[in-house]
Amino acid sequence: MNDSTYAKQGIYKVLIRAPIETVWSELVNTREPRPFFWDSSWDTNEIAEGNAYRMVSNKGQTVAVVGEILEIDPPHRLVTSFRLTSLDDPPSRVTYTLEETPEGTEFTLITDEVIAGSKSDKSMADGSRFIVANFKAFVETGKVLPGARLTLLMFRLMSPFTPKSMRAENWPLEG
Amino acid sequence: MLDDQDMDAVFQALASSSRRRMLDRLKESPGIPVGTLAADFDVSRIAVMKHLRVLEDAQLVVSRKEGRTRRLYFNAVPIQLIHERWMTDYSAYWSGNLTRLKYAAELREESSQREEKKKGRSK
Repeated sequence: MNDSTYAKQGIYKVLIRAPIETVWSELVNTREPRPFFWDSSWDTNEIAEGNAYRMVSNKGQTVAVVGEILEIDPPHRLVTSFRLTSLDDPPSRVTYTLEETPEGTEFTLITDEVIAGSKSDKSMADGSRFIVANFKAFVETGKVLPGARLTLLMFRLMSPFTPKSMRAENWPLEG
Repeated sequence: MLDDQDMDAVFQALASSSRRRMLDRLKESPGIPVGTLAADFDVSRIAVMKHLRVLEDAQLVVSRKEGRTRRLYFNAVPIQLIHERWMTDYSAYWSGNLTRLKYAAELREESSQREEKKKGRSK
Protein backbone atom coordinates (compact mmCIF):
# COMPACT_ATOMS: atom_id res chain seq x y z
CA MET A 1 0.00 0.00 0.00
CA ASN A 2 1.51 3.31 -0.95
CA ASP A 3 1.30 6.49 1.09
CA SER A 4 -1.49 8.09 -0.93
CA THR A 5 -3.83 5.30 0.19
CA TYR A 6 -3.64 6.70 3.68
CA ALA A 7 -5.26 9.87 4.91
CA LYS A 8 -2.94 12.48 6.37
CA GLN A 9 -2.21 12.15 10.06
CA GLY A 10 -4.95 13.48 12.29
CA ILE A 11 -3.78 15.47 15.31
CA TYR A 12 -6.02 16.33 18.27
CA LYS A 13 -4.47 18.21 21.13
CA VAL A 14 -5.60 19.69 24.41
CA LEU A 15 -4.14 21.06 27.63
CA ILE A 16 -5.32 19.12 30.67
CA ARG A 17 -4.88 20.91 33.97
CA ALA A 18 -3.63 17.93 35.94
CA PRO A 19 -0.28 16.29 36.69
CA ILE A 20 1.07 14.00 34.00
CA GLU A 21 0.88 10.95 36.30
CA THR A 22 -2.83 11.52 36.87
CA VAL A 23 -3.53 11.93 33.17
CA TRP A 24 -1.58 8.77 32.36
CA SER A 25 -3.26 6.65 35.02
CA GLU A 26 -6.71 7.73 33.84
CA LEU A 27 -5.80 6.85 30.26
CA VAL A 28 -4.59 3.33 31.04
CA ASN A 29 -7.01 2.50 33.88
CA THR A 30 -8.15 -1.05 33.09
CA ARG A 31 -10.41 -1.45 36.15
CA GLU A 32 -13.27 0.91 35.29
CA PRO A 33 -15.15 1.85 32.12
CA ARG A 34 -13.68 4.93 30.49
CA PRO A 35 -16.49 7.44 29.79
CA PHE A 36 -14.34 9.27 27.22
CA PHE A 37 -14.03 5.96 25.30
CA TRP A 38 -17.84 5.66 25.17
CA ASP A 39 -17.94 3.84 28.50
CA SER A 40 -15.85 0.95 27.22
CA SER A 41 -13.03 -0.69 29.21
CA TRP A 42 -9.59 -1.86 28.25
CA ASP A 43 -9.65 -5.64 28.11
CA THR A 44 -6.10 -6.99 28.02
CA ASN A 45 -3.83 -9.16 30.15
CA GLU A 46 -1.78 -6.03 30.74
CA ILE A 47 -1.21 -2.82 28.82
CA ALA A 48 2.25 -3.90 27.74
CA GLU A 49 4.09 -3.99 24.44
CA GLY A 50 3.00 -6.81 22.15
CA ASN A 51 -0.24 -7.57 24.02
CA ALA A 52 -3.60 -7.72 22.32
CA TYR A 53 -6.41 -5.58 23.68
CA ARG A 54 -10.16 -5.13 23.18
CA MET A 55 -12.40 -2.21 24.12
CA VAL A 56 -15.33 -3.91 25.80
CA SER A 57 -18.67 -2.38 26.81
CA ASN A 58 -22.27 -3.27 27.54
CA LYS A 59 -21.43 -5.73 30.36
CA GLY A 60 -18.84 -7.52 28.30
CA GLN A 61 -21.19 -8.16 25.39
CA THR A 62 -19.89 -5.60 22.93
CA VAL A 63 -16.43 -5.09 21.47
CA ALA A 64 -16.00 -1.82 19.58
CA VAL A 65 -12.25 -1.84 18.99
CA VAL A 66 -9.56 -4.52 18.75
CA GLY A 67 -5.82 -4.05 18.43
CA GLU A 68 -2.39 -4.46 19.88
CA ILE A 69 -0.23 -2.39 22.19
CA LEU A 70 2.65 -1.48 19.87
CA GLU A 71 4.67 0.74 22.15
CA ILE A 72 4.42 2.01 25.71
CA ASP A 73 6.55 4.53 27.58
CA PRO A 74 4.78 5.61 30.79
CA PRO A 75 3.75 8.35 31.39
CA HIS A 76 4.59 9.82 27.98
CA ARG A 77 3.53 7.64 25.12
CA LEU A 78 1.19 4.83 24.15
CA VAL A 79 0.96 3.50 20.59
CA THR A 80 -1.77 1.06 19.61
CA SER A 81 -3.03 -0.59 16.49
CA PHE A 82 -6.71 0.16 16.19
CA ARG A 83 -9.49 -1.58 14.32
CA LEU A 84 -13.18 -0.70 14.52
CA THR A 85 -15.18 -3.93 14.69
CA SER A 86 -18.23 -2.30 13.13
CA LEU A 87 -16.38 -1.56 9.88
CA ASP A 88 -14.49 -3.60 7.36
CA ASP A 89 -11.39 -1.40 7.21
CA PRO A 90 -7.87 -2.62 8.01
CA PRO A 91 -6.29 -1.60 11.34
CA SER A 92 -4.86 1.89 11.68
CA ARG A 93 -2.64 3.32 14.37
CA VAL A 94 -3.54 5.54 17.31
CA THR A 95 -0.84 7.25 19.37
CA TYR A 96 -1.38 9.08 22.64
CA THR A 97 1.33 11.44 23.86
CA LEU A 98 1.56 13.30 27.16
CA GLU A 99 3.87 16.22 27.75
CA GLU A 100 4.42 18.00 31.01
CA THR A 101 4.09 21.82 30.87
CA PRO A 102 3.98 24.45 33.64
CA GLU A 103 0.17 24.67 33.24
CA GLY A 104 -0.51 20.96 33.24
CA THR A 105 -0.26 18.16 30.71
CA GLU A 106 -0.48 18.52 26.96
CA PHE A 107 -2.36 15.53 25.68
CA THR A 108 -2.28 14.65 21.99
CA LEU A 109 -4.08 11.93 20.07
CA ILE A 110 -2.62 11.12 16.65
CA THR A 111 -4.27 8.92 14.03
CA ASP A 112 -2.11 7.31 11.33
CA GLU A 113 -2.50 4.80 8.52
CA VAL A 114 -6.22 5.38 8.16
CA ILE A 115 -7.42 4.58 4.62
CA ALA A 116 -8.27 7.92 3.01
CA GLY A 117 -11.98 8.46 2.47
CA SER A 118 -12.93 5.21 4.27
CA LYS A 119 -15.71 5.00 6.84
CA SER A 120 -13.01 4.62 9.50
CA ASP A 121 -11.51 7.93 8.35
CA LYS A 122 -14.69 9.86 9.12
CA SER A 123 -15.50 7.85 12.21
CA MET A 124 -12.04 8.29 13.71
CA ALA A 125 -11.97 12.04 13.05
CA ASP A 126 -15.30 12.51 14.87
CA GLY A 127 -14.30 10.04 17.55
CA SER A 128 -10.92 11.61 18.23
CA ARG A 129 -12.47 15.02 18.89
CA PHE A 130 -14.93 13.36 21.27
CA ILE A 131 -12.18 11.49 23.10
CA VAL A 132 -9.81 14.43 23.52
CA ALA A 133 -12.46 16.97 24.60
CA ASN A 134 -14.06 14.55 27.02
CA PHE A 135 -10.82 13.13 28.37
CA LYS A 136 -9.90 16.67 29.44
CA ALA A 137 -13.31 17.21 31.08
CA PHE A 138 -13.17 13.80 32.78
CA VAL A 139 -9.68 14.24 34.24
CA GLU A 140 -10.37 17.81 35.39
CA THR A 141 -13.90 17.40 36.74
CA GLY A 142 -14.58 13.67 37.07
CA LYS A 143 -17.33 13.96 34.45
CA VAL A 144 -17.52 14.05 30.67
CA LEU A 145 -19.18 17.01 28.95
CA PRO A 146 -23.00 17.32 28.97
CA GLY A 147 -23.23 16.55 25.24
CA ALA A 148 -21.23 13.38 25.79
CA ARG A 149 -23.43 12.31 28.69
CA LEU A 150 -26.30 12.40 26.25
CA THR A 151 -24.35 10.39 23.69
CA LEU A 152 -23.53 7.79 26.37
CA LEU A 153 -27.19 7.59 27.35
CA MET A 154 -28.06 6.99 23.72
CA PHE A 155 -25.45 4.22 23.54
CA ARG A 156 -26.97 2.49 26.54
CA LEU A 157 -30.45 2.78 25.05
CA MET A 158 -29.30 1.39 21.74
CA SER A 159 -27.37 -1.52 23.25
CA PRO A 160 -30.14 -4.07 22.46
CA PHE A 161 -29.60 -3.19 18.80
CA THR A 162 -25.83 -3.67 18.77
CA PRO A 163 -24.81 -4.96 15.32
CA LYS A 164 -23.81 -8.63 15.22
CA SER A 165 -20.35 -7.68 13.96
CA MET A 166 -19.63 -6.04 17.33
CA ARG A 167 -20.65 -8.92 19.57
CA ALA A 168 -17.90 -9.98 21.94
CA GLU A 169 -18.05 -13.66 20.94
CA ASN A 170 -16.86 -12.68 17.46
CA TRP A 171 -13.77 -10.97 18.84
CA PRO A 172 -11.91 -13.19 21.32
CA LEU A 173 -8.91 -11.58 22.99
CA GLU A 174 -5.93 -12.86 21.01
CA GLY A 175 -2.61 -13.87 22.49
CA MET B 1 -13.81 22.98 29.43
CA LEU B 2 -11.60 25.85 28.45
CA ASP B 3 -10.91 28.42 31.13
CA ASP B 4 -11.44 32.12 30.38
CA GLN B 5 -7.86 32.71 29.38
CA ASP B 6 -7.79 29.74 26.99
CA MET B 7 -11.05 30.82 25.43
CA ASP B 8 -9.86 34.42 25.01
CA ALA B 9 -6.87 33.09 23.11
CA VAL B 10 -9.11 31.07 20.76
CA PHE B 11 -11.44 33.97 20.01
CA GLN B 12 -8.56 36.40 19.55
CA ALA B 13 -6.93 33.96 17.17
CA LEU B 14 -10.15 33.60 15.19
CA ALA B 15 -10.74 37.38 15.07
CA SER B 16 -8.67 37.78 11.92
CA SER B 17 -9.71 36.90 8.39
CA SER B 18 -6.14 35.93 7.43
CA ARG B 19 -5.87 33.52 10.32
CA ARG B 20 -9.26 32.02 9.53
CA ARG B 21 -8.13 31.52 5.94
CA MET B 22 -4.96 29.84 7.19
CA LEU B 23 -7.07 27.42 9.20
CA ASP B 24 -9.13 26.69 6.08
CA ARG B 25 -5.93 25.91 4.23
CA LEU B 26 -4.63 23.64 7.02
CA LYS B 27 -7.91 21.79 7.26
CA GLU B 28 -7.77 21.14 3.51
CA SER B 29 -4.14 20.01 3.58
CA PRO B 30 -3.14 18.54 6.94
CA GLY B 31 0.64 18.42 7.35
CA ILE B 32 1.34 21.26 4.91
CA PRO B 33 4.91 22.62 5.35
CA VAL B 34 5.23 26.14 6.75
CA GLY B 35 6.91 27.37 3.57
CA THR B 36 4.08 26.14 1.34
CA LEU B 37 1.52 27.84 3.54
CA ALA B 38 3.49 31.08 3.55
CA ALA B 39 3.75 31.03 -0.25
CA ASP B 40 -0.05 30.83 -0.49
CA PHE B 41 -0.52 34.09 1.39
CA ASP B 42 0.14 37.47 -0.01
CA VAL B 43 1.95 38.76 3.07
CA SER B 44 5.53 38.56 4.29
CA ARG B 45 6.85 35.35 5.78
CA ILE B 46 7.34 37.20 9.04
CA ALA B 47 3.65 38.12 9.12
CA VAL B 48 2.70 34.50 8.43
CA MET B 49 4.95 33.33 11.27
CA LYS B 50 3.31 35.84 13.59
CA HIS B 51 -0.16 34.59 12.67
CA LEU B 52 0.96 31.00 13.17
CA ARG B 53 2.30 31.85 16.60
CA VAL B 54 -1.10 33.25 17.61
CA LEU B 55 -2.87 30.17 16.24
CA GLU B 56 -0.46 27.84 18.01
CA ASP B 57 -0.84 29.66 21.31
CA ALA B 58 -4.58 29.12 21.03
CA GLN B 59 -3.87 25.45 20.19
CA LEU B 60 -5.80 25.81 16.94
CA VAL B 61 -2.64 24.79 15.11
CA VAL B 62 -0.19 22.06 16.02
CA SER B 63 3.20 21.93 14.35
CA ARG B 64 5.47 18.93 14.13
CA LYS B 65 9.01 18.66 12.89
CA GLU B 66 9.72 16.07 10.26
CA GLY B 67 13.37 16.15 9.35
CA ARG B 68 13.99 19.75 8.40
CA THR B 69 10.37 20.49 7.54
CA ARG B 70 7.91 21.96 10.00
CA ARG B 71 4.48 20.59 9.21
CA LEU B 72 1.25 22.21 10.32
CA TYR B 73 -2.02 20.65 11.40
CA PHE B 74 -5.40 22.17 12.25
CA ASN B 75 -6.54 21.12 15.74
CA ALA B 76 -10.34 21.19 16.03
CA VAL B 77 -10.50 20.45 19.76
CA PRO B 78 -10.73 24.08 21.04
CA ILE B 79 -13.65 24.72 18.69
CA GLN B 80 -15.30 21.50 19.82
CA LEU B 81 -15.01 22.71 23.43
CA ILE B 82 -16.57 26.08 22.54
CA HIS B 83 -19.39 24.29 20.77
CA GLU B 84 -19.98 22.12 23.85
CA ARG B 85 -20.27 25.18 26.09
CA TRP B 86 -23.24 26.70 24.28
CA MET B 87 -24.87 24.03 22.19
CA THR B 88 -25.60 21.35 24.77
CA ASP B 89 -28.74 23.11 26.09
CA TYR B 90 -30.33 22.28 22.82
CA SER B 91 -29.73 18.62 23.50
CA ALA B 92 -32.40 18.60 26.23
CA TYR B 93 -34.92 18.29 23.42
CA TRP B 94 -33.18 15.19 22.17
CA SER B 95 -32.84 13.67 25.61
CA GLY B 96 -36.63 13.83 25.98
CA ASN B 97 -37.05 12.04 22.68
CA LEU B 98 -34.39 9.50 23.61
CA THR B 99 -36.08 8.62 26.86
CA ARG B 100 -39.28 7.92 24.95
CA LEU B 101 -37.28 5.80 22.52
CA LYS B 102 -35.83 3.87 25.47
CA TYR B 103 -39.30 3.03 26.77
CA ALA B 104 -40.41 1.98 23.31
CA ALA B 105 -37.35 -0.23 22.89
CA GLU B 106 -37.79 -1.84 26.30
CA LEU B 107 -41.45 -2.51 25.70
CA ARG B 108 -40.59 -4.14 22.43
CA GLU B 109 -37.92 -6.26 24.06
CA GLU B 110 -40.24 -7.35 26.85
CA SER B 111 -43.00 -8.31 24.47
CA SER B 112 -40.60 -10.28 22.26
CA GLN B 113 -39.32 -12.11 25.35
CA ARG B 114 -42.90 -12.93 26.30
CA GLU B 115 -43.50 -14.23 22.78
CA GLU B 116 -40.45 -16.46 23.04
CA LYS B 117 -41.57 -17.83 26.39
CA LYS B 118 -44.99 -18.58 24.97
CA LYS B 119 -43.42 -20.40 22.06
CA GLY B 120 -41.20 -22.33 24.49
CA ARG B 121 -44.23 -23.49 26.47
CA SER B 122 -46.28 -24.54 23.48
CA LYS B 123 -43.48 -26.85 22.23
